[in-house]
Parts: sequence; C-alpha cells; structure tokens
Amino acid sequence: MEPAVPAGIRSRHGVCVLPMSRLQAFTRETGMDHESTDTSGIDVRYVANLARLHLTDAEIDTFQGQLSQIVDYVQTINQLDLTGIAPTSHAHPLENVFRADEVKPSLDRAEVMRNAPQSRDGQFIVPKIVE
Amino acid sequence: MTPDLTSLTVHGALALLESKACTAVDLVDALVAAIAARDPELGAYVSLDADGARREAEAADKARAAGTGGRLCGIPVAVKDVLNVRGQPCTCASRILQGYVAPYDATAIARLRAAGAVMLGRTNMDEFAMGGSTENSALKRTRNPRHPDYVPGGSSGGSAAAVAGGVALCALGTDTGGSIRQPAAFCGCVGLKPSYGRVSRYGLTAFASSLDQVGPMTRTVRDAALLQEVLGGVDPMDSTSVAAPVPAYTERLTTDLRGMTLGVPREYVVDGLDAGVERAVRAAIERCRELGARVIEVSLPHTRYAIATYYVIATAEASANLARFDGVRYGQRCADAADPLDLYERTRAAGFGPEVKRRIILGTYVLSSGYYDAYYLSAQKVRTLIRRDFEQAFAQCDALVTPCTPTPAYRFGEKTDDPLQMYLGDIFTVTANLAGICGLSVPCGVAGGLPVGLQILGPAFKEEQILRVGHAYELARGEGWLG
Repeated sequence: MEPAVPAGIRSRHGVCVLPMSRLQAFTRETGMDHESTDTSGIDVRYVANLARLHLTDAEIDTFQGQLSQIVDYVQTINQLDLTGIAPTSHAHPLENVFRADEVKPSLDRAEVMRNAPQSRDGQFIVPKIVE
Repeated sequence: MTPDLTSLTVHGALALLESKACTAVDLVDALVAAIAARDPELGAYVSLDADGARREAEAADKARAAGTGGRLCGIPVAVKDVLNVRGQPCTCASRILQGYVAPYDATAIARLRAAGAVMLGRTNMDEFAMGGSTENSALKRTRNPRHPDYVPGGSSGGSAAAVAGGVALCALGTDTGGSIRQPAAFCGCVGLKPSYGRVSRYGLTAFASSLDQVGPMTRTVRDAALLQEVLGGVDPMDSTSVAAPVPAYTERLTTDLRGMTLGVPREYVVDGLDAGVERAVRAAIERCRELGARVIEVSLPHTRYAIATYYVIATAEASANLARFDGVRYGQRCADAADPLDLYERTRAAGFGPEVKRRIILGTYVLSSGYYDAYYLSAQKVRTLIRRDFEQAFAQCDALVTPCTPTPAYRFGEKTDDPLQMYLGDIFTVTANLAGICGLSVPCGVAGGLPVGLQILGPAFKEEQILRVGHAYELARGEGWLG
C-alpha cells in the first residue's frame, strides 16, 4: 500500500517537491529512505527529449543516478524560507539600454555562410519539414 | 646576455621592447619555439597561429618604431578557445564546433588588438567552459605545469597552464563559477575575474549569460591590472556591460595596505578544507596584516547554499544558450537526417560530451513545467540572499580574503566519475559570480608541493581594491613561494 503523502507535496511522475527536512522526515517515517531515485524526481529520458538530445540507454542509466544525486543536493535551497524575497536574474540589473537607430554593416554574408554544414544561394539547407 | 623571453612578465617584455633589447617578433619566435618544445607534453594549446602572430608582431614592431603603438604593443596573448577571433577556429573544446571559423572578433579581442597585442594561439578548456579540471575537453589533455599527473584546473586550464608553464606571457580566460581563479590557483599564476558587466561578453560563446565574464591570466598582479585597463569598459554590442569609468588600475597599486580593512568570512572554513591550503592562506592573511591591513571576521551566512544555487542557475542558462547548436547554421551536422528533429537530436548526441549533456539535462529539468518554481525561481531568490551577504560584508571591509579552492590540484580521473564531488570544489568561487562582484587569485604558497591560491574578493566595480591587495601581498611574498 502506498504511504499517505503529507499535505503540501506536489506529485508528478511520482516526484515529491518539498523542503529537504520534510522530505527526509517523510522518507524516514515511511521507510522510503533508500528509494532516492524515486524521490529525486528527474526522469532523464523525458527531459532529454525536451532538450532535443538523443541519449543511449547506457547514458540514461548513468545520468539517472548522477543527476538524481545532484537534484537531491540542489533541493537544499528549499530549506530556506524564501517568503518575500525578490528573485535576482542579473547581478546588476540595467533598464532600457537604448542605442541610436542607425544602419551599420553586418557580418560578411559569405564569410558567415562558409560555416554552414549545407547551404545554397546564401541559404541554409535543412531536411524537408513539410511533406 | 639574452634574457629568456618566455619567462618575462608583460611589464618586463614591454620594457625590453621599449629599450629595443628585443622585438615583438623575437617574443613570438621565442614562444613558438617554447610551445614546440614543451607543449606536446603540457597540452596547453589547441591551435597555434604562428604565421599570423609573426605578421601581427611585425606590424607591432613598425607601430612602435613609428611611435603609434598602443599600451600592449607587441605583447603576444594566448586566448581561451571560447572567444571568437576572426579567421581562427573557435571550438570551445567541443566536437560540435569542429571546423567552425569565427567570422568576427570578440570585443575583448578587438580591445587587445587596438592596444597592439598579438594573437598567439588558442588554449584548451573544459567543453563549453563546463568543468573544473579541463578533463572535459573533447580535444586533448592539459597537464598541470607543476606536476604532470595533476589536473591544471578549469575551465580555463589551458590558459593557466600556458602562463604558469612558460609558453605564454599572459592569456585570456573566462569565469562563470571560478574558471579563471581556480585554474590560476591550481597552476600558480594570477587570475582576475572582473565584476559582471565590466568586460563585454560580445563574441564570448555563452555558457551562463548572467554569470560569464572575460578576464586576464598573468604572472603578476601588475600585469593583470594592465590587461584589465585595456579590456574593461562599456560596449554597445553587450547591453549588460556597464558604463562605469575604468580607473587606471596600475597607478593605484601600492606597496602597503595601510588604511584597508580585510574581511575573513567565517563560513569559508569548511569540512574538507585541506590543511596545507588553510596554512598557506592563514600565513598570507598574516602577511597582509603586517602590511598594515586591519583584518576582521565577517559572515556570509548563505554560503552553504551557493553551490546548489549556482548549479541550478548556470545549468538553466546553459540549456537555453546551447540550444543554438543544432546542426543547421554552423558546426557539425549528423549524416542522413530523416527530418529536422532527427537532425537536432543526433547532431547534439554526437557533438556534445558527457558533462555538457548532464548540464543541459539538469538545466532543462529545472526550467521545465512543474519544477520551475521549486528550483529556478527558488535559486534566483537565494541569489538575492547571497548578494545581500556580500553587501553587508562590504559595509564593514574593503575586500575579503579567502582560500580560492578547498584543496590544491588533484590527480587525473580522481573526480570524473562523481560530478557532485567535482561541483563541491567550486564552493569559494561561485559566490562572486552569483553576486556579480570581482575576484582575484594570487599564488600564496604550496600544499603537498602544489600551488595554493589566495582569493581576494571586492565589491562590484572596485577592481582597484583587490588589485591593490594582491599587488602588495605579491611583493611582500616574493619570488620563492613555490618552495
């Protein structure tokens, strides 16, 4: 039988997201201490697909263990009471950085296109998108 | 007697050039010969443009003769393989960028060129600057110049090894979580991470855009000050660069520290701090006291959350920045893609190494639906607390003095199977990037025969304060620090 999940835990893919202290207390009480890969919550196969990254089964195995451990570790930030704290996206936030609206030379097109894996008439060739 | 041109400081080389005791071509020739002799073992460079460097050196010699040379006229510079130099490869030590030739100069490069510097070659690094040992390079191994069995640190390991190993007078590195300061500490050279916004990031292949900075790696603090004067300043091509005046750092250096207050953060004495590192850093702090500084204890209470915060924010930004490597516009492309999705997935699978894949996955996860608030948003809030820690500390002191790393360099392979252990080594350096402040690493002795770095942290846009501390300490320390 599944142990009752304490209130406040959000569950997705069998994942708990809550402060580490509460998570540890919960896993102790329920005897889930050793199921760390289940509680850490990262589904490497699913996320790799979001990242448009093909992984082999061997890579998925290795990353699943390593990243579960890392995700467990980064959960320590949720031990802090962050109520009322504003997020920082940049160390020195600048607002409204304007420049004059002037036409300036761009990079040389031929020089740029020399880096293209496949190109024709100054355009990139990609596999067919629309049948 | 001809001096050994490869062992010069930048200021020493400028003095020889000015007195006509040598030419810029002589400097390039001496370094190219040293690279041919030593770099097959050291592995600092991934590519060398000897002919191009010689041509630039000839032009510099002419400019100097005509009295039109800049402040770095004829000084050869090694460049981390993450900065674009027009006409040269820029692989970021990744398979995915093999064959790429940069179509423009990064602003940092353009500024060096305008000052007369010569682009010598490109140095090895952890792939896309992700790592602390340069073992994540897809191209080659770089060894620590002080001991061939030990890592040079990273991610700017090639630049540090080149400067400390006698195959470059100075170099450029980049620092997202310690990637200039940590390899400088491991190899025994000087590394400056400027404040966020001080040096333009235009032309730097982005890892984590809110943390990345370009900075100098040199043999002396005075050289770092000179390069930083040239590199710093606002750039219309990078709207996060800050329009604060760049002081004449070299003129602000002093031989004593009278009137300065240095803070020692009590949270930086951590479990796992190597006894030899602690001893060397304590002795260096004592030396600063003898030079006239007042030393006080300060607190940075959120230090223990810094690694977690850093690895959420840095990987989140990296996962977005590395989305551009898709096999469409530049770099490698997988063969026979069935459709665009197949093209992206297989190109990236073949092009990226394991650490880059791990970080892309972690970063994608912390930004994904249902997890964003718990990880990314929380991390940004903790970042605010870490910034405040430093604001409060700098209300009491001019600079902080700490170990740069908890341990000296370690052996190859020692941490490659345990990425979390590797990340924990960044504890003293990541906070400066999160807070946007400046930091400097200066050699301060040895532990187990390997160099130790004294880290000096200063408030944002106060590079002159940490350079002053580093310079006065370095003079008092003297030459024999390596034992």
